[in-house]
Amino acid sequence: MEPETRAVARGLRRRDPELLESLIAQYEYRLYRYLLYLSGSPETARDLFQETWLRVLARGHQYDGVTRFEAWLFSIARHLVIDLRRRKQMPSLDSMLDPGETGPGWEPQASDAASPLAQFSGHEQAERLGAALDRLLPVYREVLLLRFQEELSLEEIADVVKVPLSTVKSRLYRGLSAARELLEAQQS
Amino acid sequence: MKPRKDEGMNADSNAGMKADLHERARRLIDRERVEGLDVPDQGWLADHLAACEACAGRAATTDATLRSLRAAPVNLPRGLAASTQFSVQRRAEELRAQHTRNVALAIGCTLSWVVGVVSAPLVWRICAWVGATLDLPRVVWMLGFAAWWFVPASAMLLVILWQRRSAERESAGGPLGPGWDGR
Repeated sequence: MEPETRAVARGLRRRDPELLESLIAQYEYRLYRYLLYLSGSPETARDLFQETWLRVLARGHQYDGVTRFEAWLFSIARHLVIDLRRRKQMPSLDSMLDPGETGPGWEPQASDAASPLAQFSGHEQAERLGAALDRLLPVYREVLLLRFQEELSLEEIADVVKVPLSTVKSRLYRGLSAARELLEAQQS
Repeated sequence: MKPRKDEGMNADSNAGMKADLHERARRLIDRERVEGLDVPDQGWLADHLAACEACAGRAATTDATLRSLRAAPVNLPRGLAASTQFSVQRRAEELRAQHTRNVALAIGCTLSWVVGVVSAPLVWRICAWVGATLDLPRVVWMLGFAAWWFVPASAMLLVILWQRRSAERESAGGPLGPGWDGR
């Protein structure tokens, strides 16, 4: 049987409308969540969601059918966020680095952007978590999401984020540690 | 009675070793979740967690953090997939139409080239005849012949440039084009 990723690659090359429709529906939640985490704004995430799929339509022939589709999809989405930040002259994702890579000592700090995780439903614990995690730097939120929500492998994350594997690990450890501390502080 | 110096050193050393063990356990707790552990480390950590309440608490907190992270729901905007599907279908139709135009353009270019090559001797003779009849300098009717060759290519070039410009204008007018303020 043909692997699913190969079938997706063939369909994208043909710009198969049915395949695209089903992919959009299938990845609606996950892609939107990723864009929301990165952009920090529901409106921006919504526009970027649409733009991502238009990009998938235009560049579908570049998907090789070997890597997981979601890794390729998130990679496209991430590029769009970076392009947008450049155009709007916002700080780039990588400029909000953890200090193990460059810059001053790392401290979790409140984001200037509107709370992405304030989008949580009314569940109290989720709201608390949202408020806590929103204070994480986007670079940490991103890798935590890719690893623990999307369950991408470390290599796939490195491919999406376009950083070395060691940097991915470093961000994950720092992000996990920061998330734990924030949550503990929130609970206490 | 004062404790002997080596007893004090032993106590410090034991405390240091214990701290090292807890530190190792904490590192392994995170590594298990991020990268996974090999079997000996898994065994060591399980034994340590069974004996150490503080480290077991940290492991539980870490798991709770990850559980909360995984469970955190996000509100999807209404009709997000439907509106995107509509935009993508519309764009796909545009791309199909553009593809058809490109094929027509390629066929036109090929035909023009073939006709140009086939008709070259005839056109050369006609230009020479017109030049002789009107008593034109040789360079003038030769330029006329060259123009005959360049006209189809120039027309095609203009069509291609026009298409490219239209495509650029379309992409600039998209949701993320210049002027889009993200709000």
